[in-house]
Amino acid sequence: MQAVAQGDLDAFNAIVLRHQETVWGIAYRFLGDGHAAEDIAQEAFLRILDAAPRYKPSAEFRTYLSRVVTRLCLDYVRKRRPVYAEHVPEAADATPPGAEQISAREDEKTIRQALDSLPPNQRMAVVLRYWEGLNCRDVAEATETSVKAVERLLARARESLQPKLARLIEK
Amino acid sequence: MRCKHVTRRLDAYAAGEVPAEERSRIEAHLATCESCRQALTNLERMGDLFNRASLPPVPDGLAERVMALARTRAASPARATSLWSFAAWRQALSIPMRAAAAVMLVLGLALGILMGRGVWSGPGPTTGTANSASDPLAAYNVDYLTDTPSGSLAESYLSLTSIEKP
Repeated sequence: MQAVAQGDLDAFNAIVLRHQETVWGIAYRFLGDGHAAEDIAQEAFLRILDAAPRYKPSAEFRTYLSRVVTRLCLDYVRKRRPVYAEHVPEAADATPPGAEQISAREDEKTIRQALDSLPPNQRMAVVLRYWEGLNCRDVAEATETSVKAVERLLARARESLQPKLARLIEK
Repeated sequence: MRCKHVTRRLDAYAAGEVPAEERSRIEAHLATCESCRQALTNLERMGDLFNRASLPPVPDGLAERVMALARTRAASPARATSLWSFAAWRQALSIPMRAAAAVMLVLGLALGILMGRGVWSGPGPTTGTANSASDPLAAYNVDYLTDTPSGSLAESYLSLTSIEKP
């Protein structure tokens, strides 16, 4: 980041290549919309570029990155009405899906709908904790709240998700 | 230890993030509480389920698009911050331009005060009830609809800009 702050675009390119999957993953898991997630990912990297001169390495870079994406995602859903995803990304191949594929898509649709039913802060805590594997302290830092609050968010989210995902959990 | 506390700390417990002393208290509670044990099982299964859910690959060319935008920003550093930020706008102006802007601002304010004083110091609203019945301007004190004060800057301006009726 120090090199980026000096205007080194090669260093910035290295950051983008190394972290694009994380940024994309958080945005996509949270929003469930590829186009919006891509916009958020682009914006997140540009914010990081703009903020490079002011960046202070007080936390792990990945946590800082998560905070930037989290803010953008939460702003995005605050400004827009929630869209409950009725679709799961289509497979690229033209061959008709087998029974297993259909079942996998149905499962993903169920997960998506269950996630979309959560309030945004709970959903983000779930994404960061269970998909990105951040510990509660890092989730708290990314969502700009306390560890206790994150633990409560996760407990409430699990409580809401449990009945919706019961069929899949017991599979 | 109560179920409420265990439920809240269950996630950290499952990830091995709780201190040893608390861990043994949670384990003691789990040994006797069927509901919390079930919650722990569900949590672990939920984690497995999320891990199985696929993530579409990063869109093709995402990094290239980000870099193209970054290069554009680097080429115009004033835009790199915020075009609408007052601080950025102020920094983008050179000192002579800032001085010129300040002079223009002061001149504009002085001219405004001068014109305002001309209008303000003119004859006040027509008072008295005698005229009020016949003159609605007097009745409602709408003196701003009356003529501009004689000799005022406003009057000169209006005489310059008004079109004489034939």
